[in-house]
Amino acid sequence: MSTQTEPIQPTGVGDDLMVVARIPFRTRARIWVLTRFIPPIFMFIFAIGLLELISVTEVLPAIVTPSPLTVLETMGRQATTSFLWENMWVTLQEGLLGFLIGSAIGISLGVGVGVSTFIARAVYPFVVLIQSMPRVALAPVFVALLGFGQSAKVLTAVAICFFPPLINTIVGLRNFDSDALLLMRSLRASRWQVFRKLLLPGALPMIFGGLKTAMTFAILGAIVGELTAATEGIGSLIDIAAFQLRMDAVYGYILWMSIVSLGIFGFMDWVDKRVVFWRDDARKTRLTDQE
Amino acid sequence: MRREPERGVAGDVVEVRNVSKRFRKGDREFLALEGVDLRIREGEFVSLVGPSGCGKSTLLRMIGGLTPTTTGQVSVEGHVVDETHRDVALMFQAPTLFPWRTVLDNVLLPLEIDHRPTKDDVAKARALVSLVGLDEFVEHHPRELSGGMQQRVALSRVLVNDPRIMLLDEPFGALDEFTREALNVELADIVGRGKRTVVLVTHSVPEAVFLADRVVAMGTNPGRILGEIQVPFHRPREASLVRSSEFQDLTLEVRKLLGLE
Repeated sequence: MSTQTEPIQPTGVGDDLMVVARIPFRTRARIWVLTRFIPPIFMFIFAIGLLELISVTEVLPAIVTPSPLTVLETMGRQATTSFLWENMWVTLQEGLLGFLIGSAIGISLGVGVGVSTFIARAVYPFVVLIQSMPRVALAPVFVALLGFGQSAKVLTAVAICFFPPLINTIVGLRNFDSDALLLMRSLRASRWQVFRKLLLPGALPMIFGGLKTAMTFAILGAIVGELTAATEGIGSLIDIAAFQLRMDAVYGYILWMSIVSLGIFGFMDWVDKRVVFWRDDARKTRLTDQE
Repeated sequence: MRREPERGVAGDVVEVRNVSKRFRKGDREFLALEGVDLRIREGEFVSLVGPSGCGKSTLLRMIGGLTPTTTGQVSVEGHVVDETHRDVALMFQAPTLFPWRTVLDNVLLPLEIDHRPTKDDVAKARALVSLVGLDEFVEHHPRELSGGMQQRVALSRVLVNDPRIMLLDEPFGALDEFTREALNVELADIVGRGKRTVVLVTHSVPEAVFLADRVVAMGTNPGRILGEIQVPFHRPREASLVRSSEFQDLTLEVRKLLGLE
């Protein structure tokens, strides 16, 4: 057993392995870095160059294809205004609130479906119905229902984002190890204990996956709601700028929103890696016994 | 579990009487077990050995109250088994550890199901983890352990409840030859000390003989008991036992019972 726990010896310069390996480890590491980062950088430069080219040659109307440099300039100007950040905050509020409510609904319904056949039978047909519904199109309905304020946007976000946590909770709760259930049964665990100690933790990786998607959807929902009818929020800024044919401003708002969203998703990822630290564990190989 | 007056020979912890089990697969019915009679004495180590489909795992689960019998009766400690009961602890081929729990918390699970673990419980779990040689890993998570180490944790978890009967379903079947042998020696040692009743299911004849006081050979179509052989070697048993001619002779006899020779 001691052989299993011994740390792997670090290979340094002058190590015998260095002589054996045809390509030294350091060079290999360098090659890895190059092959990892060169392609996306190349793609980025290519895309920006293409946009610049389209803008300079004016193959498309200049008004809809501002040069990337102009957009960058506009973004710099936008960032210095409190205007951008105040409206961004409005959108984030709607998105985050929608995310919280939507996830709560999704997870609770998912748990209900996962543990109770009755709830599963009652809810499932509607789940399928709602899934196939173009929920984005509900935004005008919510505006009609709740007016031009933030609540209609929150509701749009809820409607769009509750689904991934719901379906992932259902799938996650069903994805248990049958031997683990047998073990719990042999220990005479109650239904609650089976849920609390086996099914729920087992479902967490899936649930968190659903939450990450829900976050994207919630912000999307808030912006769709604002595009429908709003006086504040990033969506309304985009709407106004587009109406004025200020495409550089439109792209600027979109990019700023993307950057902030990226930060939020990064945070979600960070939380995810800490809460469900066992996510990437290799599935144990199980030999199936026919009995 | 229903209370019933003691029956059978005194000292029999497990009594399987004329048990059969039918499974239905679609329209076809198939007989997993037929006419099985088995008595296991207190403190006895019994190996059930046989090919896939001989119903040995089914029989094991019946003793644990996890699978109902179609006909016949299983009694444990004089009581008819008709649901899961606290006298047994189960161990599977896969370690079946919970990846979100530390080694210690995995071992504590059976106690936790029963009551809020006390300081004594934690001390006991720690002692069991060190019994299987994993002191330094108490606070680690299963993913940081090799397959053999994970199965050691599973072994500690089986022992933590002080079960009257240990039911081991090919516990080391998924491990490599070396780890498997090392763990078998350890298991023989641990079991020998505790005077526990153990039922082991295995595909491996040498494993069955090395560990058991009695080897029960089982066959297929329908799943049934072909015969049994007493293993006279006293404990503790050393790894070198498998090289002795007596051991070789005994495995040969079991192989004959199984129709392999």
